[in-house]
Amino acid sequence: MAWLGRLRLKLRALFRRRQLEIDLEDELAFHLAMKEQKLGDAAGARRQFGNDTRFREICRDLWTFPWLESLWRDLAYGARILARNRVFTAVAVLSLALAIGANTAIFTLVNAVLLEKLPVREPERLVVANWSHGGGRINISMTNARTSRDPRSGVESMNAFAYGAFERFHAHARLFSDVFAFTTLNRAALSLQGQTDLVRGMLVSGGYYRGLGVRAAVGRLLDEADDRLDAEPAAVISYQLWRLRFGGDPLAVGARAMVNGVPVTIVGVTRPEFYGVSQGGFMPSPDITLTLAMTPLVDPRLAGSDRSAHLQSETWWLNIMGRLRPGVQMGAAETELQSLFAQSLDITALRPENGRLPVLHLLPGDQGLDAVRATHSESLWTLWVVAGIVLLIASANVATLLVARGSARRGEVTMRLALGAGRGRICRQLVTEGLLLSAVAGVLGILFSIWGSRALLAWATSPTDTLRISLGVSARVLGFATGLTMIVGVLFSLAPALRVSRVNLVPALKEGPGGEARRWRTGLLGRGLIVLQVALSLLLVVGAGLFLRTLDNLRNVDLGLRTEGLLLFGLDPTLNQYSEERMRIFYRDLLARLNSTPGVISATASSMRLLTGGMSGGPLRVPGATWLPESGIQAHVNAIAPQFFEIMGIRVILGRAPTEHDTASSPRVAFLSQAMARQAFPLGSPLGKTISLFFKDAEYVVAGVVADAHYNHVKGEPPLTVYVPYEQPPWRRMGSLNFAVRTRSRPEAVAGAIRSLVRELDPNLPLISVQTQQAVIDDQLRREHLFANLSTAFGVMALMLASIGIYGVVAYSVARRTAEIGIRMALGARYGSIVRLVLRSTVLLVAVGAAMGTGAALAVTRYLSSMLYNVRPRDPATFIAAIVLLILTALAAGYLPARRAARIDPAKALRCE
Amino acid sequence: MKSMSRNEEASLLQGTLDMMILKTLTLGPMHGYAITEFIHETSENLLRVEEGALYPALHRLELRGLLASEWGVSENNRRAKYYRLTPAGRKQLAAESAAWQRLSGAVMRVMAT
Repeated sequence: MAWLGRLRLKLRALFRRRQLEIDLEDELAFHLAMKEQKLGDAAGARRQFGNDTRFREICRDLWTFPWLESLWRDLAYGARILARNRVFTAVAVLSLALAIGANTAIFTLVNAVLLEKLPVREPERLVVANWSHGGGRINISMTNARTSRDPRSGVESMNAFAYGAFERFHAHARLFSDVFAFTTLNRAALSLQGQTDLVRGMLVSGGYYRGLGVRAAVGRLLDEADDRLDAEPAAVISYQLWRLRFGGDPLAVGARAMVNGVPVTIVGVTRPEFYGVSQGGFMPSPDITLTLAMTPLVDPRLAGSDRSAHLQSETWWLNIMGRLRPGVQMGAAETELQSLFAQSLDITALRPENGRLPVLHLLPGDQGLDAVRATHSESLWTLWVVAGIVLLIASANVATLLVARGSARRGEVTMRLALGAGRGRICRQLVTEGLLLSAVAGVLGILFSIWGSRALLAWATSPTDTLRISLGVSARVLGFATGLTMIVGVLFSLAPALRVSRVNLVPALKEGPGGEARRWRTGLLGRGLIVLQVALSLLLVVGAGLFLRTLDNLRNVDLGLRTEGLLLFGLDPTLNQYSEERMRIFYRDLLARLNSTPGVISATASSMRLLTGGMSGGPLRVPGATWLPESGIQAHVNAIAPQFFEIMGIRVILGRAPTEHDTASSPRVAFLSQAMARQAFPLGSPLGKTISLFFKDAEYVVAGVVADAHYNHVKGEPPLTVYVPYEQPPWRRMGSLNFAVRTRSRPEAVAGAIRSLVRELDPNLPLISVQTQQAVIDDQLRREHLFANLSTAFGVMALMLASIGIYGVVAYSVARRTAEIGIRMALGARYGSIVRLVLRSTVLLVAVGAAMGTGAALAVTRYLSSMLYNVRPRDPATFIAAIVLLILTALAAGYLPARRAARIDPAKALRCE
Repeated sequence: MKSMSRNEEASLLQGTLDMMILKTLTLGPMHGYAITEFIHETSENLLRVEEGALYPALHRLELRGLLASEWGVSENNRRAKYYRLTPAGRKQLAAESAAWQRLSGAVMRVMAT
């Protein structure tokens, strides 16, 4: 156990160093005194004693951690050096901190968005079911569903199924250990302890909690036994609701409550980290969860008056997920479910006319219902690559400056080498300095990233998105940042350290600083770093240019609409159980009042808010048209109020616009967009002709043709659109309306007046999503805005860093060559030739860097093509502009010190030799 | 014994120095100077231990737990550090001297041919 004693000694030495040293001194002094006494001659005794320094060192070495000591010394020394060169340190630390911070911020998002999984057991075995039209459309009524478009294949898929499909899956799917279904409870009025509030509710099948593999925090969770019509109504509440309404009291289990007037018993509470199956906000995290069996009681809209509409085969409303058995591949599971799906359609006679069945898809469910990963991964990876490039540039920049400074420290290094330090020792000290620098930058970077990741998330998602991700500084993020910092530190300090310490002692000591110049010019490391920085900067500048042009193009898309000065808000009287008649009166009344509100030029309404990405659509058929398919043309439909075309700036080309006289009782009329008119009626005017929308018996007479306008997306072509009066919608009942008000002054100023107006008419009707039309468009372009801003910021930063690098290099070169320049000037060289001389090698480096950067950009930008709009990835104008900008910046950076060089007073220069 | 700067020779000689220190201390606790004097006299002035070898050896032996030290007052009323053998030290001494006997016996047999 000798090592234990050694360890104890070393630890004691750490804290009681002085005592140990005193002891050693005393011991040696005693020995010396005794020797003196014996020999009677002090000097002689001393001589015999020998070199006590050496064995003092040996003794000391016994009681230290030598590496700790030298590390501490290196750090202290490095800190002194850094403090002395404040400008360099500041620039280096700042640029590194920004770069490290940006990388860490993006990694935080990557970690939260791409890597986080549902807080359930083994989320990798969960799958989500979706379906897409197989080529023939089926007539169903779908609700509580989301349509998503696969970015690569362009296929649209929906995530809602009929109850019959779920039953079949649940009963017969053998490759699954669990299949469960759920949906949002659209309106959940929870009456608890005498208080009624609107909360978020969910309806789930019996296997939901077991399939997810979660446990209760208190009590129990719903199971199959609860999901029966004859079962005692049971409910599970969320942890947050439990704390809010019960204060964490375990007696909540067994408490009675009412949901939408139906009595239920609370049987359990979920754990705090469980938020349901929706990470990306498709479904809100539920406060209360009931079983599917309770649907007819608590959701009358879904179940209808006969309480069984939700079980009909045409009603598709359930989201379905499943857990694969161990070892089962997703492809096999998909095939099994597809055949079960087809059987369920067969039974319900929902086969489309051309016999092509809808196709079932299974998607990974480890992140829940939302394809958060798919939606955001491309953006995140791109941002990360850009941030990584910036970090490379910053590191190369610091390395360049270190190399330049290294030549200034040659004297110090050679002295230390002469005194006996090994080359490894010197390198270790220089690398420690670099690590110290990057450690400081790293700490700053982490702080910056905390703010940065939040800001990034806020910019990237619209206020209506609710990405449920926690942006804490987790251990993984900290580990990433620390690792990055260390790698970067070693990266930029190792090469310069190796270079500086490789020195022939004698010539170096003799030469002094002057001989540096020649060696500098042939220094491959320094030159390579400059070329690297220039090339990478060009890459970033090109990227920034492409994103800026994309944003500009998108902003200037001709939408066919007048979007300025429009205030929007939505109303949904169906939530308050309005009848059709009452709604009609309400809307007419509201429109009239809005039109006479001061500050309002005119007001209108539509069933669909424009440019939000949402749409209603269905087939348009022309009876007797042999030139059109039996299944009709897919039309985008908008049910509008009078003055809609006028307010939105859509020109009426033929016929008329809707008026107040187009009511539910008057003949049904429709208005076609120009492209739609051409498609449906290629010969002759469509006015007066009959069409049917959605259902064969829903017939309309075409009363007008209007100019094409964008509907749901800013990108792409305006779709084929049919407008109908809002009292004559092709879907069975009137529903919510979105109001658009054109205001005289700023739209926000009128919002207050409108709120009070609506409150007058019905105080229980809240305004939904009050925003300007311009804000809606900006929302759509969020990602493009973000990319344009960020890439510009990074591009500017890269240019600045490269400029600093070039400036530093040229300035040092000038300082070293002062004598040579003085001689040349004394011999008659003029301003221009001196500048040319100094800049010659730099210009060459910049040119090489620009060429390499251009080559890299040409190769790489095609990966951006899905994020660009109307700009080719190799757009010549952007490339040329970027190259010119880069060269100008680099030349300017190099010109400043070159100019100073040419102004050197030759007499002074020669004297300073 | 001069303090050696070459590591190879040092290890051989250092081993024997350690052994001799341990042996010296069987006579009782001593301070460093007394140890050198004892070895010097007992070897009939042939072996002189220099401080540069002695003190590192003493400290190393103490680290290994073969010696224990304490501060005391010397004959001439000075503060001195006294070393003494520990039981582990005694065991080590026995082992090392046995090994030394075997080694020197073998060398002698070769040299006597």
